[in-house]
Amino acid sequence: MDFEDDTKQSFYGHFLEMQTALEAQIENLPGVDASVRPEAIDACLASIAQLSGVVKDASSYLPAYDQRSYSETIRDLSEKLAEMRRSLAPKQKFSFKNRKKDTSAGIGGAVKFSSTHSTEKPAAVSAVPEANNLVISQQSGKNLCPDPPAAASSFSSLLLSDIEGCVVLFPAGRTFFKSASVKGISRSLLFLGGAVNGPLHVTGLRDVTVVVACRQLRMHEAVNVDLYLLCTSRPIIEDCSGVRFAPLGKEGLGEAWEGVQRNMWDQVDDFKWLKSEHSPNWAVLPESERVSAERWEKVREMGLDEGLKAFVNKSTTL
Amino acid sequence: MLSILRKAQLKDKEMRVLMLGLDNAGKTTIVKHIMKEDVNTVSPTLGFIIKTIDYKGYKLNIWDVGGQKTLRSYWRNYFEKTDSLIWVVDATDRFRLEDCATELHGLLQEERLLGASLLVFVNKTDVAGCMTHDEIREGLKLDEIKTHKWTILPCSAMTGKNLQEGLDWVVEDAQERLFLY
Ligand SMILES: Nc1nc2c(ncn2[C@@H]2O[C@H](COP(=O)(O)OP(=O)(O)OP(=O)(O)O)[C@@H](O)[C@H]2O)c(=O)[nH]1
Ligand SMILES: [Mg+2]
Repeated sequence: MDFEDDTKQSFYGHFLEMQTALEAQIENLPGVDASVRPEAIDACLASIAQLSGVVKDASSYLPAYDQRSYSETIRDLSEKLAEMRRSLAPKQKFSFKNRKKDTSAGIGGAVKFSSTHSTEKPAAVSAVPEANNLVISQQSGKNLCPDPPAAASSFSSLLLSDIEGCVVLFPAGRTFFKSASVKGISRSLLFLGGAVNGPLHVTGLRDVTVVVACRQLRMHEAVNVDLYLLCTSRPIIEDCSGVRFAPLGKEGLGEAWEGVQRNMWDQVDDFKWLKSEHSPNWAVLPESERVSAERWEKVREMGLDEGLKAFVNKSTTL
Repeated sequence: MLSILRKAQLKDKEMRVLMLGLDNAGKTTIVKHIMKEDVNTVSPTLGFIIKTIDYKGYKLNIWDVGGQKTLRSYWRNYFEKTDSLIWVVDATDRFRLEDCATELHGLLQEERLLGASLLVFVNKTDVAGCMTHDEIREGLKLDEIKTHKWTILPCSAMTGKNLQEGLDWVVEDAQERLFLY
C-alpha cells in the first residue's frame, strides 16, 4: 500500500467511526427528555457539521468519487436526523427503537462444564495477590492456575497484563472478582470461566482464546481472538479484527450465573462499523470449529499438560 | 455573553451537567442509581444519554456521553452551556490512570468549559483493592488544576455511596456562583 492509499484508508476508517457514533446519537434522541431535546439535536447537528468539515479538509487528497459518496452519507445522516425530529415533534408519543432485533438466543451453547472436575493443581501459581487484587503480569511460557482464596478476595479486581504463550486457568464454579482488566496478551489461553462477576475490559490481544462470563465486555485492539462468551449486555469491540464469538453455557460457572436469562454473546457492537452490513471485524465462530464442551472439560481435568495444545485454536501455538 | 446566558439558566434553576470519563468508568451506572433504575443491566453507551432530574429545587439535565475512544472526538459537541463537569474515574483501572489524566487535562483546556466547575467522582470504591484517593489525586494531577474550581469524592454507583453528596456539591456550587455574579 503506498502512502496515498494509506491515507485514504485511514480517512475511511475515521469517517466510519464518526458515522457510527452519529447514528447512535440520533437513535438515542427518543430517550432524551423533551426539554433538553433541542440541545441534544444541536449536538447532533454540530457533529454532522464537524464531519462534513473533515471531508472538506480532506478534499485535496480524496478522489472526486470518494468525496461524493462521503457527502451522500452525510446527507443521509442529516435526513435521518430530520426524520427523527419529525417523529419526535410534540404530541407524538415516542417509542424506543431497537437498533437490532433482540434475538436473545437461548443460553446453552456448545461449551458446558461440570463443576465436579478433578481439583488437582497442575502447576505452580505465579500470581501475586496485591492488596485484594489478583495481579498476573509479565509471564511467558507458563501454566498459571491461580486459586484465589474464596471469600476474602471476592470483592476485588483481576489484573492480567503482558502475558505470552501462557495458559491461565481458573477453578470452575466460583466467582472471585468484581471486575477484570486484561492488557497485552498473546498466544495464550485465558480460561476465566465464571470468575469475573462484573465488567471485563480488554486491550491488546493477539492470537488468544478466551473463555469467560462477564456483565459487560469492552474489547480493544484485538487481533485473531476467539471468545467463548457469556455476556449479559451487548459486547463492544473497537479497533479489532479477526475476532470470533461462540456462546458459553452458564452450567458450571457458579452461583452468580445461575439466574442469567439471556446471553448476548452475538449481539456485538463494533465501534468501527455501524453500517447495516455485518462488520468484517468479527464473526460467529462456526460450530464445526468450536471447541466442544467435552474438550473444554478435558482442558480442565488435565489441567495444563501437553495435551492441552490440541484444544486451543489453531492459531495459538502454546 | 456566555456567562450571562449561564446566569439566566441558573436563575431558572436549570443546570446542565456533563458527565464524562473513560469507557467503563461507571457513568451510566451512576446516573441509573441516581434515577433509582436497575444498575445491573447497563450496556456500554453508544452515543449519549440525557436524563433530567429534579434535585433540591434544581432541574438537573445530566448528559452522559459514552467514553469509548471513538466517541471522545465528539465530546466537544456537548460542551456548550455546561455548568458542571463530572469526571468519573474507575478506581479499579490501574492500567489506564494515565490515559484518564491526559483526557481530563485535555478537556480542561477547552475554552467552552472554562466556566464549569469540576467534580471528580472516584467510582467503584466498593471494590476492595481499588486505588486510593491519594493515588488518584496524584495520578490525575488534580493539584495542578488552577483553571477550574474542583473537588474529588470517592463514590460507588453500586452502593450509592456519596452520589447525593456529589450532586449537593454541584448544586451548592451553582448557588454560590449565582450570588457571585
Ligand atoms: N463494583 C462496581 N462496579 C461498577 C460501579 N459502577 C459501575 N460498575 C460496573 O462497571 C461497568 C461499566 O459501567 P458503565 O456505567 O456502563 O460505564 P460507562 O462509564 O457508562 O461506560 P461507557 O458508556 O462505555 O462510557 C458495569 O459493568 C458496571 O456494573 C461501582 O461503583 N462498583
Ligand atoms: Mg455509559
